[in-house]
Amino acid sequence: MSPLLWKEFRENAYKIATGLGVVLLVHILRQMDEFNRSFDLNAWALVIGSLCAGVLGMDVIAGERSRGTLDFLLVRPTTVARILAAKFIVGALGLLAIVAAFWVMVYATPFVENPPPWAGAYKLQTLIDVPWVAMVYAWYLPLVVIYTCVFLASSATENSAEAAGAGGIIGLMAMLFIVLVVQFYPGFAYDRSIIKDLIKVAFDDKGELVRIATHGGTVIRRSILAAGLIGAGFIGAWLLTGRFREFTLGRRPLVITGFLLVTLVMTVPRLLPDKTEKILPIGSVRVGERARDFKLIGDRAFVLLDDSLVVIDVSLPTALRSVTTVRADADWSLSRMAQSGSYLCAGGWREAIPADSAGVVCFDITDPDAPHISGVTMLVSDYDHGDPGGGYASGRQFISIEAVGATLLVPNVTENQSELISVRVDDTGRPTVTDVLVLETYEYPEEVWAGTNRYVRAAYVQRHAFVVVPGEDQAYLGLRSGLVIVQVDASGALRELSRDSLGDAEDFASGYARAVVARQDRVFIRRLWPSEYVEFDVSDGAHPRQIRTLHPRTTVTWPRQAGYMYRSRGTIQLHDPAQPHRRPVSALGLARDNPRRGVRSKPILRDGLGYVLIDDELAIFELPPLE
Amino acid sequence: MSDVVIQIDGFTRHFGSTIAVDGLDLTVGQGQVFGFLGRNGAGKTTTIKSLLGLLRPTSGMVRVLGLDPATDGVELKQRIGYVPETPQLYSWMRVHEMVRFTSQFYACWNDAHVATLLDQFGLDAECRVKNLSRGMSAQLALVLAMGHDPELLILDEPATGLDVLVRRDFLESIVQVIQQQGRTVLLSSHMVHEVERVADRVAVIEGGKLLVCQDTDAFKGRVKKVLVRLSNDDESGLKGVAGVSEIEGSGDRRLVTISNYDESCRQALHEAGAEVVYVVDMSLEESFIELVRPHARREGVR
Repeated sequence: MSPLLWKEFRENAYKIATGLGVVLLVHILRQMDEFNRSFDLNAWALVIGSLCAGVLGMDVIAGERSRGTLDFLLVRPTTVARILAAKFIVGALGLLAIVAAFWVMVYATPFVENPPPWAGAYKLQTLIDVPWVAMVYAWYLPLVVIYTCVFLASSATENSAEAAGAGGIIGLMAMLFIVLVVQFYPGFAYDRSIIKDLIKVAFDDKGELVRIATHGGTVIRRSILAAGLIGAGFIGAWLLTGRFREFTLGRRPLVITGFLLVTLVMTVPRLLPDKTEKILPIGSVRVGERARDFKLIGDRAFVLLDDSLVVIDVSLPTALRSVTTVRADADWSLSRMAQSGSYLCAGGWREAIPADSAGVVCFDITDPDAPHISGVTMLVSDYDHGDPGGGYASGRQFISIEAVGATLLVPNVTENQSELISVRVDDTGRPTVTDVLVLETYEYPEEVWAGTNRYVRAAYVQRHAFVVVPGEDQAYLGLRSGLVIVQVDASGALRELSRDSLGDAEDFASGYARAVVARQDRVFIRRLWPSEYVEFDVSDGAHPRQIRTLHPRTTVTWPRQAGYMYRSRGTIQLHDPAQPHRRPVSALGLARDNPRRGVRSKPILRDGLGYVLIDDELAIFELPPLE
Repeated sequence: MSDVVIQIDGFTRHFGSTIAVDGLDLTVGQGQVFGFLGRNGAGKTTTIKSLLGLLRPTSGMVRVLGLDPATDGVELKQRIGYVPETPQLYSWMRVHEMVRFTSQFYACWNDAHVATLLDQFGLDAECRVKNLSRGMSAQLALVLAMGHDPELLILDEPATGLDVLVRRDFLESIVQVIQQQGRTVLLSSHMVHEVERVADRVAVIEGGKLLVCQDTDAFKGRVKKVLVRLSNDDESGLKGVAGVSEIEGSGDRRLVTISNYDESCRQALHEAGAEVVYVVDMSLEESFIELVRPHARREGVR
């Protein structure tokens, strides 16, 4: 066996080296910011992986046959099985090396979660949630299936090109077959359940934070299944042709096999029962175009539109009734709401004079059926940075608005600093800017401001945008630089209590806190790089104590409602709460009859009902009971 | 039966609807240099591949060194050396790597003999295979086939595609090797004069069927050209004589090609009104052509 392995290694070394070189090239490219921003791991892993699988597999037999060296091997006193095994092993190991290198490369560079700004509304499962080994494993298995198909095709065809063509087609067919029929590998994306199945998930008592560990049993089962599939392929080929040395399947059987596979793939999934339950809303009402946000208070739903607040009576879910509409000035573009006592305060943009500016509109909802505007304030009217955004680097991006008691907190990003603006809502519901706390200062590259590309600007805002989580009289901010705890006085004055740097502020990826979760006296920061959860005891806000760091890549956030997972594609998926990482038990089709209609808000789940904005409607769904 | 190296009984091999070899019977004794003749596509390579276990017979029996190539292939190949038609070696290897790589397949490997042969053929051990000339590649393939001192050496159309000089050199190499060792050799070729120089015994295969299997000298003597003088200009009587395959010439002289010529033919010709002027011995190649020509004509090929 060893001379064969030596030969195969020598013959394939340059291919493996080329694959590794491509990986290295991608790694170098990823150091460039612009490339990194648009770097699509899935696409690259798939392209590199399947190309390598094809190149490594296509030449094994067909190459030797076309060069005439196959006979040289076959007349040596060794079995065909050994010749094939040596070839298969070297190719498979080379592929493993390339896949592993790719993911080492991905993990080795601070990876910035960079969905394009226009897609930023959708929460994506990020790479950092997944252990490296699981990732390599999950990618390797399907690529090995492709490799095996090309390998088998290579032994059936006369030259490498035919093998690549036939093998590629059969490999993709096999993948589709596996994906759609066997459900062995459900998809190429890393956020699919193949990864999640590999890891054990544990909720904390709030159903909020999940610790995951590699699921050994599943890994072994998967491996056995994959080995079985590959083995079955070989045995099938063996039976089909008698022996490999006479393995001349010919074009006709190849085409017929491919055709049969396509037919199977196209038909079998349709014959399988569809387990997802599609449920139409039990009630809906039209609220108007451009619904942005909504709150559920008592038996009223308050829906925020661009320039108005719509009150919906939801006491009878099957007979929703629009009660009233309060309009602000038409030049508002309101986007988020926070409740402060009996006031609903909406933040957004106003095409105001002299420049566009962000502001807050407060609605008095003491009488929910007859709300009125109690006050309006602009946030950054005194800014004069020559920025048409009036202080907002984005030009028009309103990040969020949160309420701590009677104080509203609005994160703001300008071209040279990020700051927290406090807006006090007085007893009459009039908002006033009371304080601005500068959190970080920086210098933007000149070209960002000189350029007119608003997406580039928006991407820079994304970097400096931060998360505000309200507490009782404190706010927890997740910044680039780490956790900042801010004291919010009754008067609306802000005071920085503590700052726990998690990384280098200049290297925006190093400490970047992407999510903050506050639970009683605990705060969890999900930092981006290195990927980990940092748990703080914040009972003393001035001296937060870092309790522990959950190991990188062994933690994952889970949807806020245990058991239900919101999906952006117009469905609420119902998961078994005991196994939320499994495939959904059922799904609620939210988009009604028009599949292109968009879900505009996260659903609010209350009392067995799901409330969600779909296009211009507020719709209510009955949630199936969790088993 | 221990002196029988190759025994083929009723060997038939189909490729789909094509019959490549049809009921071939062949026996090669130990120590023979056996010429296996046939035109392109006659079934020579199919037969050889079945000897090496690369193809299974559709029906019939193949035994080499008393073993079934299809089931005892590994053991058998330890004892067979094989040089294919156009030996394709791994072009990226150096000569010594090629030798070492090949040697690792075999239980015993005669390094000294290989070194001698390399030296004899002037092959540089450090030279890459891709830099060897075609003749040298062929010689290297021969060395590799000889390294394990095979009991049976199979040469499938060796030297095809080499130019005249190189082929001559390569054939010399083969002759040297054969003479040194005195082992059984199966030499397949459509270049009959090559076989003539070395083979003790020849078999001719055509259209998958064995036409003849004889000692070389006997085979060469099978067919003769006979110059006859006709008593009248009518050659029609000649056509009735057994074994006559071709009549050339005009006037009262005819050149008649006759298979299995013997004295009885002379009598038969006389009865047909032709007197034998003289008899010409033919080379192996001419004998082969005369033997195969009727079959080629039947196919409409000349």
